[in-house]
Amino acid sequence: MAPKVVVTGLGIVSPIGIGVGEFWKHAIAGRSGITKLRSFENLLAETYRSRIAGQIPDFNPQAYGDDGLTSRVDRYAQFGLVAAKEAIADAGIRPEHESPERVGVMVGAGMGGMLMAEREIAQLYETKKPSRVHPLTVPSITLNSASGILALAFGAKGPNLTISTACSSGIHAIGQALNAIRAGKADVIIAVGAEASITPLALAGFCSLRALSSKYNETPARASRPFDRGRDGFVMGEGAGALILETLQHAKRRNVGIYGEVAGYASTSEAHHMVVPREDGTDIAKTMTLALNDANIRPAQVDYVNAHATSTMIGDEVEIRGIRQVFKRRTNTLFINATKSLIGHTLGAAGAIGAATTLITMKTGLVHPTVNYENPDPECQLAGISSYVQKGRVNVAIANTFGFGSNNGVLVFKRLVAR
Amino acid sequence: MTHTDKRKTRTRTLSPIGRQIQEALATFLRRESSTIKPEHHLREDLGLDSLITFELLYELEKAFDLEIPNEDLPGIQTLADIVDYVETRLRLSTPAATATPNASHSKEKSRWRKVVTPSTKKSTGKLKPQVDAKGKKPRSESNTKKRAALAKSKGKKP
Repeated sequence: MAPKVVVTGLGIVSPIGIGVGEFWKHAIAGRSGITKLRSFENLLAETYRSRIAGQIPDFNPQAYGDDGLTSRVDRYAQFGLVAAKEAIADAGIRPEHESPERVGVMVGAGMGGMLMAEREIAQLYETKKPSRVHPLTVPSITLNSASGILALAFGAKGPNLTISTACSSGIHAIGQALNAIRAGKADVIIAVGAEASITPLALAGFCSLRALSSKYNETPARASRPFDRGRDGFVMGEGAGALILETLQHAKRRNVGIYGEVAGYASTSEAHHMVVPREDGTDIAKTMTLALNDANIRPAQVDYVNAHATSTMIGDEVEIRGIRQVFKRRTNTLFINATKSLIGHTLGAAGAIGAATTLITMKTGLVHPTVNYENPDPECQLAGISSYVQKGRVNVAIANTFGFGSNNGVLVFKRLVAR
Repeated sequence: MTHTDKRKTRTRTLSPIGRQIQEALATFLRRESSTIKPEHHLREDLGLDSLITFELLYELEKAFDLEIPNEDLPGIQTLADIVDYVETRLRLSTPAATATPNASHSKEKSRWRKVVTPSTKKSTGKLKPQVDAKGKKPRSESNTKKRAALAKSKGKKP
């Protein structure tokens, strides 16, 4: 039988706080991390249709331990490193006590080293001097730059992969970590979702795709409003989430605290459209059902859903439609919230931050508010969605993500019953 | 609702700009341009999803040097809506802006550009007299701040 896999450490880098403590304090208080967009080096914020974002101001990676690596990698990898360091410390993992080849790294990244890529491309075109291109350009913009650096930082010689499935990358990184441990390929995996793509080009691209909110440029804190009637698109965010997954046996041997079990995972494609989900929500429902089956859990046992809910008109509606199909009468007693209401859509990091949020919710019994849920869209109106903090015991929870390219990923978490 | 009203009442021939857009749609959809009517609803009649519509709007923004804000999208439902919208906006913008096709854009290839680009170039020349004929002088006073800023920022670019 496959071993039980548990989470023993968490790390978060987000627009409302670096570190799980800061993040959670502000999440519970319903504090929005969305502010007016800071201008780029050569491009004014005013030139963008969407001029708001969940940015991490004055991020200084050195403040979290100077390892000689952090300052040399792209911002997204820096976020990943800082989150992973926190998760490893939280889990009490001492890399030197582990067999290196039994420790793996799985990173979810939607766009990778965009900041570095854009800067170097712009500079090359401007100077027309190839010799001025930075030597770290290629090792930074390859999508696996973060997973490589993480292995280096922690001496992890086990399975090392980068999953890039746009907005669902973070969930799949954890899901692939689960699969690798279940298959006996590793005892411990550092699973990370990281993204720093609030860059001149990526932001412009999302604007042109008309996927971003543009109605609330003057009132940024009101812009990310999942399930609310006044929503008009998502808000870009940045950050990272990290989880330490290990076999239950390994965690018991180390005698450490456990957040919960990673009980099930499903990955599907709708084979439908480049960016929008199938409107009837059946594929989303199917993915949730597959994940629950994998966990051997019935829908009626689920207490909480950390929704994908990006604040786009179609996405939120379709997700609720899918949830109704899976949970039927249970839908009305589920706690549901949208972490993106607080920090915006952190793309490749979103699944990992959502999963970490799910485990903190399970531990604390507090469901953070979905901010700006003021005037519920009738299609998205459910008793368990609230703009206030809710309290309740959460034994079983799911975390959803749905990415561009019709990509769906769902994880199921379960409280571990002590024996 | 607007498109059904128009469907019943409006019979119109397309302006040169309208024909360009019609041609562009025909190429994209791989069908005879004569089968695409002004009253056709982009989604319901022509089967354009939101992403394809945004691609079309992007090509128009580029060809006519426009900026189409998200707030204006609900009013753009049919081919006639697009044509009216573009023509209204061009009337409001500066002749300099409309008469300058973007140099970089003609080099690229896409399913859209084959049609939008060449015919755009041809008719942007026609556009000026057309606008002038209506007696609208180069209209610095009618420009909104935004348009002025747009033209200004355009001037700054290489």
